[in-house]
Amino acid sequence: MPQQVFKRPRTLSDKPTHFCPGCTHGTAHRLVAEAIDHFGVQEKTIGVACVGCAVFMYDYFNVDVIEAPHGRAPAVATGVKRARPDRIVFTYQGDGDLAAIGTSEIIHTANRGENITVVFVNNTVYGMTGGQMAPTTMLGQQTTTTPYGRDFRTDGYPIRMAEMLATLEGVAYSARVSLHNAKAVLNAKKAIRKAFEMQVNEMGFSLVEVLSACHTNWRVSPLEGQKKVEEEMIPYFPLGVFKERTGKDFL
Amino acid sequence: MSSVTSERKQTEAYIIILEERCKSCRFCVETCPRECIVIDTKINAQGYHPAKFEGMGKCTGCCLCAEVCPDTAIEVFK
Repeated sequence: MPQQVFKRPRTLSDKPTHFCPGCTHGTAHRLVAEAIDHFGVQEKTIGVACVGCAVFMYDYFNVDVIEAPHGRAPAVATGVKRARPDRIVFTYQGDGDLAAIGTSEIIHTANRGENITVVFVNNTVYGMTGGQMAPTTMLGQQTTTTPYGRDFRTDGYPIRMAEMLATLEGVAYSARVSLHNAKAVLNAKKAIRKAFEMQVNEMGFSLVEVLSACHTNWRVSPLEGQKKVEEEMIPYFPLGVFKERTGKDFL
Repeated sequence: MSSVTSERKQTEAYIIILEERCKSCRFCVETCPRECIVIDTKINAQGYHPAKFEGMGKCTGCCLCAEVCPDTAIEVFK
């Protein structure tokens, strides 16, 4: 008699999502929920949601969630973690949120080595507000605010956040993963689990950058979007682990 | 000599697709190594053509379709 081998994780609530068809936010949500289930910390996890498509996180996760102002999730998470050090605290942010409006917060939180986990979903545009240019927008990419394509002379270059944060002393784990096919999803699952493991072991700040597609604002079909992630984003945003602390050497 | 496909043992594994959750992104259709999933012609309440399982006996229960499904609409039995 066949047994069920794959089911919805307990931490992910049984609700339909508001995401567009094929949006990998849903996959990233599931991977975070699976990591929380894996460590059995659902009862003591607090999520910090930010402004963006991930703002309805409180509906989709069966954990306590705080809404932070735009970009300020790492600052709010710092307060939560310092007030309740026994809790597992994670933030879930997009690229308009973490790399643009919240750059200062993320850098200083990482530099202080706060023992929190950050899931950073990079889809190269401000998804929820209608596809404006973000700091991570690819060169030449057309958005509603760069109708002729992003030009480095006026708009600069896309920021590689995972590499940049990996240079800071306080960071225990910094990795970039993608969700464009099944193999990438399995690797992403390992990385997100590792990031939570860092927090459970009190190693310091952990960040996972997840490359995602925004099919609606890129104006492509879901399958074309996944192909674009593989062919255009990954060459500029290489996948891998940029920093992994093995012992509590910061003490 | 018969082809490799016909010599394959009939498998017991199967998947259940939650039709009302499916948004027809086709990731599972592209991912399935044995082509067990197709897009249905009917329309669900959200207005999408949901994915449909048509691989009884072919499915190995590898879970790859469920891993890529952004809406966690697939349950795998093996």
